Amino acid sequence: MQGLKFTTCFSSPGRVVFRHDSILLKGAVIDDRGEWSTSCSIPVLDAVEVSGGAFEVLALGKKYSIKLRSPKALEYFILDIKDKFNAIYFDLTTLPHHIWAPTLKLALNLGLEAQAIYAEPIHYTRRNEGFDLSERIQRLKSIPGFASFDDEFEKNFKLITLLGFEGNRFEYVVSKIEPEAWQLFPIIGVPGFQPGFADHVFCQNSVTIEEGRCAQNVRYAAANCPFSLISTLEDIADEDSESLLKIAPLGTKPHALGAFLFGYRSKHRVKYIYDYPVRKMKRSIGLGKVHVYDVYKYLKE
Amino acid sequence: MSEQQRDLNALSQVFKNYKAEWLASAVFDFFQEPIYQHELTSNQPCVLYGGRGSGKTTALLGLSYEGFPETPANRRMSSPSELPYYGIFHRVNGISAAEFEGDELNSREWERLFAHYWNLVMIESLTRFARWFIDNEREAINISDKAIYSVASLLLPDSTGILTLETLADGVRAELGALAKKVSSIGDETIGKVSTLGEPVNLFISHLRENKCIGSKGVFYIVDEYENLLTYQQKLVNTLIKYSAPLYTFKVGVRRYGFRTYATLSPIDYLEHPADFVQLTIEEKFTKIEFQKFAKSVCQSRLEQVRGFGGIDLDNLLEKVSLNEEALRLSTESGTVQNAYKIVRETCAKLNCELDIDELDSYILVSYSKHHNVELFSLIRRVEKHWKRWRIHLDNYRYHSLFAIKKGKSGIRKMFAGLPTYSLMADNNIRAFMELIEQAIIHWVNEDPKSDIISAEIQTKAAIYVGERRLKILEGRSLVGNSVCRFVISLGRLFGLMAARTYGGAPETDQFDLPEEYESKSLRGDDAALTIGVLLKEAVMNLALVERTATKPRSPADTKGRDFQIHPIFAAYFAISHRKKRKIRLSERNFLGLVEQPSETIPRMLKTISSDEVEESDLQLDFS
Repeated sequence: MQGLKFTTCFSSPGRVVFRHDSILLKGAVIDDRGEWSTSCSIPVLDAVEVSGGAFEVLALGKKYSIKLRSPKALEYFILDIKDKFNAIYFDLTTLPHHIWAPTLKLALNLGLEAQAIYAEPIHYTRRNEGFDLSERIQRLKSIPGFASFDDEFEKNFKLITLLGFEGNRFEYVVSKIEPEAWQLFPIIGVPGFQPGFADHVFCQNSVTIEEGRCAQNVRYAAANCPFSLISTLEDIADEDSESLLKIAPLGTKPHALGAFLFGYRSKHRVKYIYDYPVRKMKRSIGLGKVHVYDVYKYLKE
Repeated sequence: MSEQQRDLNALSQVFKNYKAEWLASAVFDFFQEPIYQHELTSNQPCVLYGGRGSGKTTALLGLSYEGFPETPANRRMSSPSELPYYGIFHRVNGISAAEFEGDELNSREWERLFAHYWNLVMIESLTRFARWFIDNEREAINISDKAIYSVASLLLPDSTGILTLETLADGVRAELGALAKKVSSIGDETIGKVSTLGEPVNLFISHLRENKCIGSKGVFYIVDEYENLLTYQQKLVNTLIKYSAPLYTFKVGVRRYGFRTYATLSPIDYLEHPADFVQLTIEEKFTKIEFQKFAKSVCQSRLEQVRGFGGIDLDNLLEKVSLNEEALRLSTESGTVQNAYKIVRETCAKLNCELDIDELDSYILVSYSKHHNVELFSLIRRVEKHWKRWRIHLDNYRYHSLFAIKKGKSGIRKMFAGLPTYSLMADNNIRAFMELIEQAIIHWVNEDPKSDIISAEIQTKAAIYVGERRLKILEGRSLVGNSVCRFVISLGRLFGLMAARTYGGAPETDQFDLPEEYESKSLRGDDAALTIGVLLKEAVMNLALVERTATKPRSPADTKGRDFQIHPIFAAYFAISHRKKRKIRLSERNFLGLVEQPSETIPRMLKTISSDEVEESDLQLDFS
């Protein structure tokens, strides 16, 4: 229930209450729910991805070109924001992991009050028996700013996969890492955003769960609650405190945020593995609840 | 042994662990030395090509200092100095390798940084090896403080106080941590002091060789999953492969198409086979008989470990059925084959002719008569007159015609049974073979436990299950898995529809090749040809397709061509032949159509293939 303390849920975007003197950083709008910020009462900055490793933002009368593996440029941007605003909201709905995660990390490191915001969809777009969410996946790599070569030494690791509707992404990660059964921990969002979503997740990933012989390791955490995910991760991590934790955020954005926050303040060694999907236009339909996660407050406690 | 005593959990333990990576030390309990083992252990560098599940990793692990003494034949060895060679196993971490790329540095700078990383990783493995040696036979090996320090000086930015293996390992770990930080902020960093490719490794191994117990024995650096290196990284490691012998020798495990360049850092030197390395392709090292024998022994040794399965001979356990028996069993409900036999026999009796034909032959004759609209009376007369030619024709169609018996009906449409069939379906892939055997046993115990043998029907169900499951995970096996999967499903459906016609196409068409102009278009950078090239490579690498050297060239210009077959592990699922037989030519339009618009492409192709191939099959029966 710790999540309730740091989460505010709104039934529609018009009801979202923002902090004074804050700003919103958002990404490209590709579906209905991405439009939630059009009626936003605070200034909105668009992060435009120019290549896999960089993005640009027009803000404060300047154009910031930021390479994700160039912390100085990112720091310059964050410090400028901090000069003018008291807080920054990260729109997880539209920003990809490889942009929000390193930016959020630096904002927190520099003491800027950071919040995350996420709008649920009503449905995801279907294709035959599956879902039509990504054009393709690009590569398996760490998230910028989170590289680690620890595992050159490490046979003792756990692969924790946060599952979504695309079983092929789970299979890809597992086929590349090849964990033993005891090392593989899939996490499913239960309850899901909508009734039946959790069943879809299970169905879409069942073959790999079976092949990986890890059914007994499947864990659950509320799909829209990063803090629920954190406590699940803590449980897994505490079973063997020596393990390196490889976390693959393939499921919901709130789960990805939970994985990030867990790693940010955990004593455990954490490595993020991501497959960089190219998201399809109109991948979801409708706009559901909007959640604001008080990241700053959570980390201060 | 009664069915209640059969322990399926234990069976899964020994069978479901197909992956060498999963078995840990148990992999060696079941280790069966592959027939190419002696070639791997020569002092020449070696590249072992093999698909996923071909046994590549197990074979390489068997060379390693951790693995070799655990193999059944070598367990009597009690100390490291008894080993005939020392293999140091390293699995390439593709995620780490992918960090060394981006527009923050130029290519030369990335090369320098990656070379440093590679040195660190190799020294880390070598340090662990030396530690193992000392822990197991302290007096046999000595690496002086001075030697350690000299290696550290070449490897690390600061070698102060590094005089022992432990401090060297700590130094390497710290430097890998620092390197990760550097890579994470590479846009703001300079490369700084880095080591030179191979230098510290050469020095370390030279010091190891000063010990009598290692002396001139083979020291192998085993690199598995070479495909995980980026192309420029392969160029760097290729340089080591070419120049590191005789000090030490590389043994490389890689998937087909995973060795993307043979270049080295020297613009004029390439890795060349056989001058620089021995090339072994697992799938080609086994003949059909050898693989069947090897695969059987691998499974048999596992079965011996499981309660309720000891003493079972796989050959006897898996029922084999003759083609005629299969035809009769497939038409048990409809009686199609039995009726055809009755009609043909009656016709023969009326004509007073004696033909040595069975039920399946009769079914083929009746099908021929219907398809070509020939009276059965006149057909039987022709068959009698040209018996030798007809016997050849019937033999050509016996296997193929089985696919049509249950056309349009539910249930098993063709049986896939017997050890030889399973062996062919696995296509020399040991993991695929084990998967088939395990599923056959599970289906048997669950569905027909009272029987002493696994019936052909149960074996077929198991094979369909394995094919379906493999198809489901195919999409996730590659970055273009989605397209590969769509292509295989469409092609499987096409061949399945073709197989279900006894006549109206050449029998057992289950392969394709590409038009002659494909290679030149690909070289010119034509978009469609490049897309096809990527899909084919990925499909072969991920065992969706099998690539064969063309044995039935369509023209003199086609001699260097390649044929592609849907991997036979999918044969039962699509109800197509698992045997390598006839091929169609797949135009660029049809290839891409099968990926993007199968519902339009398949009927169009069926129409064309039907009209082309009917002529071909009729030519074989020119009775004029």
